[in-house]
Amino acid sequence: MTDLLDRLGDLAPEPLAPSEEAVAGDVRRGRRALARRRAIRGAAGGALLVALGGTATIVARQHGSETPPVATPSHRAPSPTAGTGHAAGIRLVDYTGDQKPGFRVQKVPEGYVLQGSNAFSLDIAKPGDHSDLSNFEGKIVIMLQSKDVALHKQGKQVSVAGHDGWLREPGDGAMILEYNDGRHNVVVQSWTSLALTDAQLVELASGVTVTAQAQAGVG
Amino acid sequence: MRRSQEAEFEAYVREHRGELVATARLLAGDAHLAEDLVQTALVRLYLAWGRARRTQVAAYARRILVNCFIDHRRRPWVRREHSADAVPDRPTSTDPDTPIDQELLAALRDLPPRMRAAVVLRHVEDHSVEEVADALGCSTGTVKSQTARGLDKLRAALIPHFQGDQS
Repeated sequence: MTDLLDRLGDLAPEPLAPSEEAVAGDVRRGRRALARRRAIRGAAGGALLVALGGTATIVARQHGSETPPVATPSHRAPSPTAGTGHAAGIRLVDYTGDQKPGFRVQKVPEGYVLQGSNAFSLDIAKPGDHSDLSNFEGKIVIMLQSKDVALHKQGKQVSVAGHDGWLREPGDGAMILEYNDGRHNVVVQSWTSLALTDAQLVELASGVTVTAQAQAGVG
Repeated sequence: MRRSQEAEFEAYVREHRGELVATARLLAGDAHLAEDLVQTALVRLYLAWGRARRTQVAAYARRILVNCFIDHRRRPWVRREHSADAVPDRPTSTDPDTPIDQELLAALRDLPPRMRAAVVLRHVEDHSVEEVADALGCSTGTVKSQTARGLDKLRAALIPHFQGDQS
């Protein structure tokens, strides 16, 4: 009898040496991720200082250290923040454009548009983003939870328009808010590069209306 | 990251990227997804290089890769992408680099992600129970039970083959 363990052992492929292009790509992506992380930390530091009553000048370091950016307070009075008053680098604005089938929204991040929707999701992206609707990188995506999956009641508990919701950040580039709007299990996901605050994601979700065209996936 | 540290990272990638891709292909069952997982894992490794270089980098990278795989499987849209009304046909491949035991690979793909990872790391890549436990962030007892159940499931899935051999 062919032994299962022997067959498993035979599956091990011979590792292939990577191309220089692949190696360079890994380094480049790492640098970009580090720059994004520093920018987000810088923005968060700025928000904290604004909350303390001052404005901040963020001095981002270019190279040479893993220490976070240094925030230097200035003596200028804080300028009023328009809209919702969030100071984490992006703000929500009222959405006044055409709505898409499946989900209606009242708020979007400033400078973002409804890229499109299909039976399962609505993608909110920057203008000119022509990526596939199933590619959620750099976007906010609204969808219904799969029919055969219960709400993930994990993470931070929040209130979405009076309904219980749970907000979590699995650490793979997205923050995910799940809630039941009374009829549907709704998932609102934001790519962390947008730097939305928890409160902003909840605010955006609170303005979502699920319409009859929305369908929940299976699986 | 200091330039010297980045040079270390680059050297590590040059030497070990192929191993990570090989592991990822067994976990993901798909070359394109495997490449995505490795790229994501290496970004995380880059960000944590200062800490990783002070430990066993190989174990650290393996842990990150397994976490990327399991996190990926948890995403709502991943479940949707894999939904189907009917059980899919057994896969075929024209990729000459793909291992030839497609029947076993297909059975592996039917295992739950953590169980699959335990079986791949323990019985395909021959890591110790302790190393697998470290990669999965669980106890050695859990590794033993997961691999035992995984092997049972694989035997059940491959049972016509084994019955044929036994007769």
